[in-house]
Amino acid sequence: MSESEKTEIPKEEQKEHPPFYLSLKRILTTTHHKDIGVMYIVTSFFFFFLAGVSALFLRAELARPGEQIIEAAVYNSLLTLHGSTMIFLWIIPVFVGFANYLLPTMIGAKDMYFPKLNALGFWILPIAGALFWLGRPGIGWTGYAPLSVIDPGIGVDMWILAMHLVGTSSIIGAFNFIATIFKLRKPGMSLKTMPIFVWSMVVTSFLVLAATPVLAIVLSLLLLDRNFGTGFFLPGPGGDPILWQHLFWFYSHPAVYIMILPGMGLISEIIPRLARKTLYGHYTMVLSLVLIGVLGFAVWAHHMFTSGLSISARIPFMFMTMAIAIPSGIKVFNWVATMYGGRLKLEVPMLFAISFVGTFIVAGVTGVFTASIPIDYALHDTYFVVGHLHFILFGASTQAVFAALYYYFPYMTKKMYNQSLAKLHFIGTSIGLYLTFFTFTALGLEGMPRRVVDYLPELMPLNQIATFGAIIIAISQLVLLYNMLHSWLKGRKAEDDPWQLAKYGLRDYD
Amino acid sequence: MHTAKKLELLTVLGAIVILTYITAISTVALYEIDTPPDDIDRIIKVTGRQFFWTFEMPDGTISNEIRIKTGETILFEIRAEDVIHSFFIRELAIKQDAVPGHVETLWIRVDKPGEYNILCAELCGTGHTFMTTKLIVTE
Ligand SMILES: [Cu+2]
Ligand SMILES: [Cu+2]
Repeated sequence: MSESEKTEIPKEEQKEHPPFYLSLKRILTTTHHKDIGVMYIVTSFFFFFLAGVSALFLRAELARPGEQIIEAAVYNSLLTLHGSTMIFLWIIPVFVGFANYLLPTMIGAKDMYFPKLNALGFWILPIAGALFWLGRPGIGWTGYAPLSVIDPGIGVDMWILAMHLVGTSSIIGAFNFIATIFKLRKPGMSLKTMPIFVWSMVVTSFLVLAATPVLAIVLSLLLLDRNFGTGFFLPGPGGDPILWQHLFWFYSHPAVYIMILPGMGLISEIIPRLARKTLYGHYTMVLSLVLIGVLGFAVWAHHMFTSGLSISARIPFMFMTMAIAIPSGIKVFNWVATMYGGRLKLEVPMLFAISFVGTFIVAGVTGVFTASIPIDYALHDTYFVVGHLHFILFGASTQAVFAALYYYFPYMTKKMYNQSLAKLHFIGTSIGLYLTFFTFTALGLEGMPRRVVDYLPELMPLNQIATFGAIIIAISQLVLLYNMLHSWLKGRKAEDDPWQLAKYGLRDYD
Repeated sequence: MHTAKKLELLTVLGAIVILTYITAISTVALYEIDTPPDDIDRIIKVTGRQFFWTFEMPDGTISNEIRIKTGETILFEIRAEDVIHSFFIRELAIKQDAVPGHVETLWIRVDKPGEYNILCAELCGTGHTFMTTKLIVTE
């Protein structure tokens, strides 16, 4: 059967087929958006667990002062792998997975505009993952020059190649989403009435298309510096290490929004349905998404407040960073207003959605601290920043994934998961994440730098609390893994309308 | 839903006022912190290398730790030899990156005698954690 034929099969007929993942040939050749979506999600979860295990090694090492179980070189590799994997092989692709699965259905399209390109975008990821993990450089996910230039061996070169690949995959995906949204929308669906998740993918995709080429440039310059002695980032030959930071953060700050906007989109679909209402403020939701996307390009130097930029270069960035809190606040208001007066039954996806909003507020408030330059002098490159970013990327983004997973699981697998285990996962994740990441912010206030393998003995109690919290997070994710796998294979059959939306006059896109 | 709209507008306006206030006081504080006073007592040259700090006093002596007196105004000139480091005086909650090819400055005046930890805050390689020394302040 050729690929084009398969995409033509109407939905009803396709349902009678055995699922694609039972045949290796179909896994390797499928271009159907739902199959690709599931493959993205499963693969991202694999990397989520891998990067999670590396975090456990880091936390185990930090349970006591002194070098305990891993030496500094291995520690640096693991922290680089943890960051690179969580960002480029977990958060970014897992949202691409949900978008693949949901977006065409939401806009009434049969498939993505370029189904084969879509499959290519997916198959690049495992290769990138292999390159990251075989290369294992110890330069941090930010790859600051000149450390990344002078680091010997080919680990950094493999890292560069892997970053190029994930960037290419993102660009392919973004291009495809935009083509799909603007070309394949069903008649009658205007930009005004488009679901918020689709809007979040419009903004995310434009961010990817505008920012990722800059990442490609800065990586290429680094590759030249390392292998052809060009010296773009070296002071001797007339280059400047600060150039790396400008270009890298010009990509990587918008990338923070690439990592959170789809989550906001998913949450904006889930909250109203499980509150059995319509979303409050559709228009301001879209407006704030667009505003965040635009402002997101004008804040990158807030990562460089201690790099030695002039005061007049830094103050506008402080101002813009504060300004971005406003559209973020509007979103929080709208989510809460949607829940207010709704018929909340606190199903698991709703629990994670509420927790998403809570951690997003914490992340925003800790962000305002670091946005103030004098306060950042104390907090920059300390555990405070590590805590802040984990509130965003684990607290908010990852919990948005959990909310979406628990919400769409019955649609994806036609099976229902165990509710008690899912609640256990929620409780464990919540306790673990606040314990770990609030402790991180406390360690930052105590002046513990990030990316260290050892610390002052007086900081041991706090570090042990953080390690304890990390263990709770880890155990909770094992509950998730068991629940998902077991339910997928042996769970009871899900109802057609698993969230009983019909009796409230609401519906899902599936 | 009219009240909700009003409430939302109020929230946004409130947030704008608070954030503007924070930005304003941060700006004022930043100028204060970043402008060295005219009465500098000593200039100490700080150099970061993989993986130690060296300090050159005005009289040319080189040492691996810093000894100053309370109330002395010190200006640090911060350089890096190989990769980026970050000169971080933990108890003073202040840091300045040391960037190859750049000379950055940072000034301090310490009133409380004691030992202060100097750390490196920017990942600079395998010895990053251990790039530590002391600032010793005596009466
Ligand atoms: Cu940023
Ligand atoms: Cu260092």
